[in-house]
Amino acid sequence: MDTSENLYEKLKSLGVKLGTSPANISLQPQLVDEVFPPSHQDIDSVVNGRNYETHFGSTFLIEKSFPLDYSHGIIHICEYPKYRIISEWSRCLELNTAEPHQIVFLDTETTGLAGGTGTLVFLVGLGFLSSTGFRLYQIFLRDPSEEPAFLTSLVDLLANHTILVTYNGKTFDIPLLNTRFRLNQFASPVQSLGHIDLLPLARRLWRNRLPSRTLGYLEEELLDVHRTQQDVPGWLIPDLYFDYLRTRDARPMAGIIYHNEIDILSLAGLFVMVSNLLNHPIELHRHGLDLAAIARLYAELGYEDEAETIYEHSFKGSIPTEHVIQVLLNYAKVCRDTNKSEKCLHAWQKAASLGSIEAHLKLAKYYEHHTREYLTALYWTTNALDLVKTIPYNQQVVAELTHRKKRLELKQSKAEEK
Amino acid sequence: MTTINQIDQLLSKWQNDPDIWDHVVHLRVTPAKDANLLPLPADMAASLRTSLENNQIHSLYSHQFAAWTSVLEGENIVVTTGTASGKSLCYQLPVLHTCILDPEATALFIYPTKALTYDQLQQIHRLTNALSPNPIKPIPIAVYDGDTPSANRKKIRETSRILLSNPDMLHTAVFPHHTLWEQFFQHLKFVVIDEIHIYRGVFGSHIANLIRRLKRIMNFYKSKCQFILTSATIANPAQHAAQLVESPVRCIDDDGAPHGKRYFALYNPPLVNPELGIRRSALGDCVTLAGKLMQNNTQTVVFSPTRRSIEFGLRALQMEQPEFNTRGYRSGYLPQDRRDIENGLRHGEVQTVIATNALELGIDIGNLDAALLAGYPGSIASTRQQIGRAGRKTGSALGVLVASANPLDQFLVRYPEYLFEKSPEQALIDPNNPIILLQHLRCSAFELPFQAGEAFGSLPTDLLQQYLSILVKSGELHYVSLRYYWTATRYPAQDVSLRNASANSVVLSDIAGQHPKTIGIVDYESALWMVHPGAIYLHQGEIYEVVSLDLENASAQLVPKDSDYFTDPKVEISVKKISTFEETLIGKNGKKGFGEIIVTSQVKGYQRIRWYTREILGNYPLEMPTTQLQTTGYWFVIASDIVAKLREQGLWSSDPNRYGSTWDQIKYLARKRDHFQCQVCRMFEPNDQAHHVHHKIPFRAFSSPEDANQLDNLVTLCPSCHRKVEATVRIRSGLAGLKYVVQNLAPLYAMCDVRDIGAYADPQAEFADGSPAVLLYDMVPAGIGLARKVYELHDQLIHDAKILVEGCSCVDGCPSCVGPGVEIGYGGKRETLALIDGMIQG
Repeated sequence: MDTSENLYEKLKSLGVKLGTSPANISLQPQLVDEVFPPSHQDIDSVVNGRNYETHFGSTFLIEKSFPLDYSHGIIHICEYPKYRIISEWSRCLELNTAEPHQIVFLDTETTGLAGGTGTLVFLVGLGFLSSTGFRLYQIFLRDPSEEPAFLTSLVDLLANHTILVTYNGKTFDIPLLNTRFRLNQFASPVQSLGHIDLLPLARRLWRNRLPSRTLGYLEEELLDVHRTQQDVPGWLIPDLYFDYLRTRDARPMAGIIYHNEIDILSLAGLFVMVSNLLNHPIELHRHGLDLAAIARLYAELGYEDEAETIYEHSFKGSIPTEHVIQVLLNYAKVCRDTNKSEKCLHAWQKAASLGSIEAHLKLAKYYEHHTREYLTALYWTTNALDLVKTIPYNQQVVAELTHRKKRLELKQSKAEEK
Repeated sequence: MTTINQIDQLLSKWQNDPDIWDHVVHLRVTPAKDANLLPLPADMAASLRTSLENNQIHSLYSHQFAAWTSVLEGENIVVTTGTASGKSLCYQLPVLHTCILDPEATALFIYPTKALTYDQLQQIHRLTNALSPNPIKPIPIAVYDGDTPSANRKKIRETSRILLSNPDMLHTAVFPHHTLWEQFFQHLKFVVIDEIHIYRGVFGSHIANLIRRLKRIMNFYKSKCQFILTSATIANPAQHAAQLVESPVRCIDDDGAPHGKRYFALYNPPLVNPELGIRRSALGDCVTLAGKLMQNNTQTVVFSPTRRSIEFGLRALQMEQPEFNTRGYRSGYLPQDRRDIENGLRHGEVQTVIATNALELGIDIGNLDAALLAGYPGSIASTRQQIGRAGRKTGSALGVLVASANPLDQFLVRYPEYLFEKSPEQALIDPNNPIILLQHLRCSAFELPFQAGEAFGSLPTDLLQQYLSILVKSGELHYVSLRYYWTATRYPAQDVSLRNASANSVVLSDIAGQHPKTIGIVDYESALWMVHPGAIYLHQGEIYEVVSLDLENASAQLVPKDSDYFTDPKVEISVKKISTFEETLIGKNGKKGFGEIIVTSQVKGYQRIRWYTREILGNYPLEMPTTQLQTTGYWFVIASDIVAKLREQGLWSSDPNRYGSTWDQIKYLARKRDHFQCQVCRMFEPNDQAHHVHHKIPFRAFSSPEDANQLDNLVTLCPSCHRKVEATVRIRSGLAGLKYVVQNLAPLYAMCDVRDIGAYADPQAEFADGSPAVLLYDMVPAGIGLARKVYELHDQLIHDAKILVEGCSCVDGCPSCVGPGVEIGYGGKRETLALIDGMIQG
């Protein structure tokens, strides 16, 4: 090690900064003692777990069970709901025919958020239903050199499952795991699994109603789960793990393992909640905006009649004024697609009365082309033009409206001639 | 359109026009040359042969054939034939051939600029579209750069077989995610690096490390590739190529392409002030010549360095020659406008284009009849590429380099051999520069854990070991079971710019618009003298003025400025030697050496200097903090016998009359003030002879005798002491002049910008044990090999310095040779020459 001292001095004199993260960087880098400090504590003395043996050596496995009646916040995670809508929306139809234990909830803890081949996955949590309750497996990478064993154990643990449920797994956990498998020259087991990522669904459902869609926020707001002091914030996790690698003091790992455990439970809880909500939106009588979001989802899946009913229920709930117009327009579209002109016109008129230019236009088009009532069409067009003048609006819309008005006047005068 | 003889006729007309021909100092005529053609190779895949024939290519130039043969035999090659000699086919053919025969094979083409990438994409599509019959497996070709829509990226990663990209994209987006490119890397057979002369200095040292990273990735996927490189003409293409890819490379330079007769004229604008060495502006004379070419219906490109000069030239030409289609071309124009101009040039609709070097690299604009260069573009390779824009396969072409007042321009018009057959330019890189190397070791460790005993290119394993140990100590790597794992949250490629070589950098932002826009970064060490407040900063031909420099936040604020001057910082420098790597005697007791030094510098102010003419417009003081640069330097120490000789030669008496009519009275007043006593040796005046009166600041530095003859600028000296003082001034002047000359000439050998090399001269240099010495050093921390190269070429440097100074027609020093007289006291030309002669004679 002594030969590097000169080089080290040289780098320092060239102004090179050394260190693990921007916060740790200094012009006078601190060298870490090579010898493990006396605080050295292995993971097995910190959490309950055991060695899991594979062809490539052993890795560390933590197992935990939760009874069938266990409730995570307000949700019974062992409940087994119907998955009709969620499976269709996720295009994961095998979910409908799957046995409960085939579904596995997965969440990883990693050494960075940027991804790339230099980011390690050091903790994978897996949760699933069994006949005796909810089971949780967590595999922990005691050291990067254990990665082949770590990944092999993941292959083993995933073997009985066919459907993966994650939160943001599509863009984060799954590509990262695939990268780890490829780097170790293993085939990735996750590629053959069905996959439901709850994040895009959560975005669809709560984009308008909730200020944040992180799992941490949703679990507090929707599941009424509150983490204990033991939890560590996500941004701290990579550095805690690096510290552990250097010091071999595994005590701070307990907080990360707890964090991951709650993530898995919340993921399972959210899955139950969302599945139920999607299947029985009206019965569960949620917030008006939630119903409107679910109605739109139904309409997209082709269930227009159900969508129509859900929309109608949503109006009974509270919808903040800034969203009412859009919901009315969405509702009107469903009615129009199912040939319920009266409902549709009604919705447009309501939206128009709230100041929607788009609704005015829809009405004008409807009366011009559909019923050929040019005077009525002219009424909505003129109204829209008046409205446009009161608000800053796209010049193109003004031009379009003016053009429409001229055309309608022409059509009207021709009609009168006849 | 010009017919075959129009250029020849024009030339003979010019030869009889003294307004032009008096200033043409050199004319080189290269006779027309026939193509050296060979039939299409017999072993070429049939569908490729058909494609070539459909594209009207029925034979190959000899160098294309040689490239084909070498590549198929498994060799790495670098092709260095001339502009428009069909270099692209040298790699396109063997790559396509291989991709046709091997349905899995992939290839990576690396281009230095985006514009070139898209141009090349079109070219290769022309070949693949005409393949017949279609290959068994299609050969998808894609560009992968910052502009590639994210929706397309996955497909490109998984299916493309020929990938066109750039170094920055590979560095930040491809290599750190190599597992997403598994198929591509597994079957990678060729890596093509176009225009490798661009990859020199700091940029080149980064690229060499990028190749080291690529090799580690390929090693992981158990694949091996061949390298095919191209380069403009430089002195060391094979060596440079081999250093970039760290494998043997065969050089293919026997150009088989045909060309018509070529004229290359060196034109030196006349002096308007011979004493101060001020010349007519190169741009102005270029515009005049361009006008004459237009009248002759000659399609012409005018190259000029800055946006401002482009616009000035464009306005002048459009005003003077309104009937012709003249266009400007530079970065900052919309891509569509650029395509239109390129098309207009190809089809002859645009008659004259005035362009920055944005048009220099490879973009297909067909071939023009004439190229005019307003000033030496900074390297011989660039000069040749720009001149090469003129020249058809048949018919004559004309290139004119119109020299500016810069010393290099003035040297080259006097010594044009360098521009033709014997370019001394060497592309230099130092992949083991510790700062650059460390950055790439981090990136590479992120990409794949290092294993104990593994190699990183040609880096000695024990040195690699030391670096890895340091990264382990700093916590960035974790060493376990003989492997080094990346253990930092950072994504290291993000922190590494391939254009810089500093541990720290300053961000430059344009604050003219509503939102600040980042235009680039400079090394922290260079920021103080490159982007001090008031500095003029040139970026892609655009001129900016620095409004403020915020060192705490490592940022500088700039605004575009239409200035007709550039700035030159006045820097106070002190130098400390840390170690000597090598030192040899020159002459009796002169020395040259190179080693490690620390340069402490402080910017004290700056000058504004007019473009082209180098007139000094004003001096501005500044208060700036000191900075330290640890780097490598090359020095030469003047032998004591040369100093002694100079002292002897300094015994001449100046003409007293030139000091003005009142000089005798003033002289008396000064002596009286000094009690008729020498202010150095304290000796009193003997009765029969008055002491001398000496100007502390030399007389010449003042514009009027009244200013120079102020009493506080005068001091009484005895004749003997006066001689010594004068000699010291002369040596100081000579050294300063010599410093100016060698600093300005050095880029000629080291192929760099004049700003990449620092210079220092000291009559009592501490690093030379108090002897007079001149020092040149790398401006990059830890050095990049420039000073070392100039050290090796010391004799040639001094020899060329003599040519430059001796040939200059100025009276006693000017910006084109030893520097402007007022700056260094006495003009210094005589003294500089005496020093040079002394060194040459030993």
